[in-house]
Amino acid sequence: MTQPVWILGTGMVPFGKHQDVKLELLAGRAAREAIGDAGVDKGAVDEVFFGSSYGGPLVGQRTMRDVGLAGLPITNVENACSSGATALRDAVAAIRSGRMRTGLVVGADNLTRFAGGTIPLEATDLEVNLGVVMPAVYAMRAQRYLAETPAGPEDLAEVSVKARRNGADNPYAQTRSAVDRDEVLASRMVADPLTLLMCCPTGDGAAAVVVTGDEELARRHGGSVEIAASVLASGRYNPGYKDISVSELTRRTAAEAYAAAGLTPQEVDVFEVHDAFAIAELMYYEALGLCGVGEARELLADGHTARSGPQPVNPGGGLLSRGHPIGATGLAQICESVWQLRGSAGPVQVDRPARTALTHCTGGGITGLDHGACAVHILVAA
Amino acid sequence: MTTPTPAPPTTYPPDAPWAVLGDGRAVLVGSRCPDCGCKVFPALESCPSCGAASVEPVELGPEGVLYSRTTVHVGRRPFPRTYTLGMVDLDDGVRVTAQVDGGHDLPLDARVECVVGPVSGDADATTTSYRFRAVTGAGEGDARVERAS
Repeated sequence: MTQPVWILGTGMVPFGKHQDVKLELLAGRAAREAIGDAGVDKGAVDEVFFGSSYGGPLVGQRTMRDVGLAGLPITNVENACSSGATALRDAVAAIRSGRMRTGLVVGADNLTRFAGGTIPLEATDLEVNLGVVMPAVYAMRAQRYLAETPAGPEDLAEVSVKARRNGADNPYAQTRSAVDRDEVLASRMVADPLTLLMCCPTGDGAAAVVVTGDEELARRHGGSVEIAASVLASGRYNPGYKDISVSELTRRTAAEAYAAAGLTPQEVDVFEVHDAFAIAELMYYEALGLCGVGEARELLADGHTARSGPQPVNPGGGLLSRGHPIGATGLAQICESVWQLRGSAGPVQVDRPARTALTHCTGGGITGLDHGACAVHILVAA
Repeated sequence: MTTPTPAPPTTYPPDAPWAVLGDGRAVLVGSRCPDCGCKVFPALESCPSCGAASVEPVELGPEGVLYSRTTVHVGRRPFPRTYTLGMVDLDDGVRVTAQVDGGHDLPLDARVECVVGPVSGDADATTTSYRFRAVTGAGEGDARVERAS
């Protein structure tokens, strides 16, 4: 039997522009909060896994020095938008292997260091040197998706409307105001058809969890959540033609996660999906099996994925509201999902009882790949 | 103990992976696997599909179909503030992404052709690379025969 792994504690700082706070401090706050929430002494932590895309060399050690955990094995993980989720997967694997009992996983990035604009991509990449930026990658997907399905720009706008409506209630979100469809469509164009309000804000943030394989600790805690699937995949290199209106990478990663958890898409109660751009949420409804190809707009319009709906997606506003400090996002999704399963999500708590949650993050733009990485986790209330 | 593999004779990927034809259009120089036929751009030194240790150069283009495109309005130096990017399905079966002239006016699935022109920089220093434009009919003759050295 596979060694079970539980999330014991969560910690997260409100996402936003924190130019005046060092990354190590943001990350340290999330880490200390997660340890406190786990109800363990920091001496219980055996190893630290730290996900960050732009944190620089030894960001885990720089943070743990100040948290008082320097000296432990610390693994730094860079995997673009999936950095934090990849760090969690490594921690899960370390527990399942028997090497570690209890671990601390942190994700953090501060994008205000770049003074606005699109995030910098790999400078040696061929297509990056021709002007490829992340909004353009998603915009080209959107153009093709809109050409091949009944969806139009107004459907993209509705994704943002839902995200901002949900995020308005989320104390951890970077933007906390609702917007209407006309505002979204009228906001300035970033890469057509994606307007500014269809793009996630860039900012700073950190999130952390304590995970354990110790059943006694998990049982005593009362708020632990079991990790039923922890799956990572990378984009396949396909130099030829491919249909980009379908996300092959997300579909493949999610299929493996559903199989590991023994659940169908219809049996998952709440989702955190990587809506870095509005088009992404529609495409990922389909890739995650919530509906068939081309049916995402109806799923959204019917309220199926609203906070009050049968399968809420991004009830806290997702990346479009929370912001997307790259390495922090995967663990922010985990934290918010744990709170949903505990019933402690407060103003963003979903209406119907939630026992299972799925988190999905994917990203990274390099020549030849759909995306660099995709990570999917499925959580089950203990 | 194994003998180290000698360094490849050229840089990978090459600095300017294209060749300008006599009619002003350009072909991209990728690589083709002699074993499985897999074509890739930019060129690699081995085959990513079947693992063959050596591959041969192959010319791709100049024509293809505009699979998707977007106009970027948030360009940062050294790129212009506004430019259009497109994904082009070259007739040889390889997809590339590059800037497209007037691309915002081109419908999806338009026929396009490869040329060489500025992609970034300013009046003082311009970077030149491959880009695409709507087909002009320049290729009516046999461009490959007239190809400039």
